[in-house]
Amino acid sequence: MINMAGVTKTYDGKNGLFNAVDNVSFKVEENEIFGLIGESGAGKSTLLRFINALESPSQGKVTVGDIEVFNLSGKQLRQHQKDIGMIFQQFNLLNNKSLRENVHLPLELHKYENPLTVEEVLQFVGLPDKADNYPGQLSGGEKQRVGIARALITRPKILLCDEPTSALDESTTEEIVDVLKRAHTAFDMTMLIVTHELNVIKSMCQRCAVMEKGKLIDVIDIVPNTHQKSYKSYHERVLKVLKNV
Amino acid sequence: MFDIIEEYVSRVVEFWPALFESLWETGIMMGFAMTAAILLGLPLGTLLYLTAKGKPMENIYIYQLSNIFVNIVRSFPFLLLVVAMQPFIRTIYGRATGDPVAASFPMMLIAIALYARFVQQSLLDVPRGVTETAQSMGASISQLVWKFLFVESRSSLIIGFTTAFVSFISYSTIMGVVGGGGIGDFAIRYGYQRYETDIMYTAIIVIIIIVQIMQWLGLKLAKKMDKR
Repeated sequence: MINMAGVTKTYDGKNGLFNAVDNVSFKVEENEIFGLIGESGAGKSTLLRFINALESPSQGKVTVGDIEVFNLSGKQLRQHQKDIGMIFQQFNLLNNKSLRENVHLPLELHKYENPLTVEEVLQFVGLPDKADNYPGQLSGGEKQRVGIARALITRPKILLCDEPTSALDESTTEEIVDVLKRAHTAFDMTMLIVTHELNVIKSMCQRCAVMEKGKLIDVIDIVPNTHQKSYKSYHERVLKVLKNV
Repeated sequence: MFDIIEEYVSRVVEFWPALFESLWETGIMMGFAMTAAILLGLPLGTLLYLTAKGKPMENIYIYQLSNIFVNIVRSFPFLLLVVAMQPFIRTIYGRATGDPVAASFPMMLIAIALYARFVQQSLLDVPRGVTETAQSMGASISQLVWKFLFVESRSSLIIGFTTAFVSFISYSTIMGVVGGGGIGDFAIRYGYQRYETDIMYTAIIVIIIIVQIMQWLGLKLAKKMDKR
């Protein structure tokens, strides 16, 4: 489905040239949930952005399906981007638009054959009665739900998640992970998740790539948790962590 | 005490037609300046933003050309700009003096340059993530501008326009030099040249009131449109 072949991104920094991404190759299968993990500055977000051409590699080839991304013309590229959903660490909602307008935005840019409705996606992410609110009135977790709803409305074939839970607290992280897992089950799609949070990767992905200083160190098959631990409240979590109750 | 007030009122009534005419002339100049600011200043400021380094339409030549244009117009002392433009105005409009429309040409030029800079600043304040989101959705440049950038910067664009408006009023007071008239010219003619101080202060108070109202309206509108 997604194939990176020898991709490198070179920047001209203060100390001369350096490779933010250094000769990385890997494949993501169709319908897989694939993780990209590493410390900050490891190059994982840059790598993710090659897929929808928000960043372009200095060398190497990126193929999505049978499309070679960096051979596309301007208009073909926008057609390619329109079928890939993306959610962001800082949610990137338009604060001057209501949730309804935010979620509907992708449908105003392109024609989609079989899109979902605003009501359906807001229902799916658990915000059915907030369509007329503005992002400024929401909590971080709710904003990310809107971000997910906005990405899902087009029924994307690929969903790119850039640190989707890094701005959120632990229990909200679990909620968002849950929404993303449900989305993967409900709509056939390939998901890539960039994060430094190992528990997020563990509960979502089948495989993940480990990045360090721009290089791909390892690709791991993940052994899922056999028992799901979840806390009912923040108070219970505090007791568990601080008092070993 | 009453005598003074009575005399003042009768003088204001006497000068009212002249004051009203000068306000009309100011209105003409302001109308041209504001129209130019919106129709040309807004696109120019957007172009400055879009063609800068690292932006979606990065183009060093267009950027530098627009940037130098704005800098030249804005670095001209306004009085010299008015004088320097005389031959040009005469060529395309037929006359360069004694007419508020002729006087509107330098007003329009400074309005375009000034508002373009405000627009550029407003757009630079839009978070980077907004542009990135638009690109990730495959938005074209015009979609990026209309559906993302202008939406997120609209209250800042209005506040910038209000600030520009106040500057335009100030610029318009110079236009008496080339017979453009206007409220500023009125104040100079009566107050400075004829020592009719009370009439000059009346004109100045009228200007202050106009500025206060526009500033209030601008901020109110900006606040109403800001949902952030």
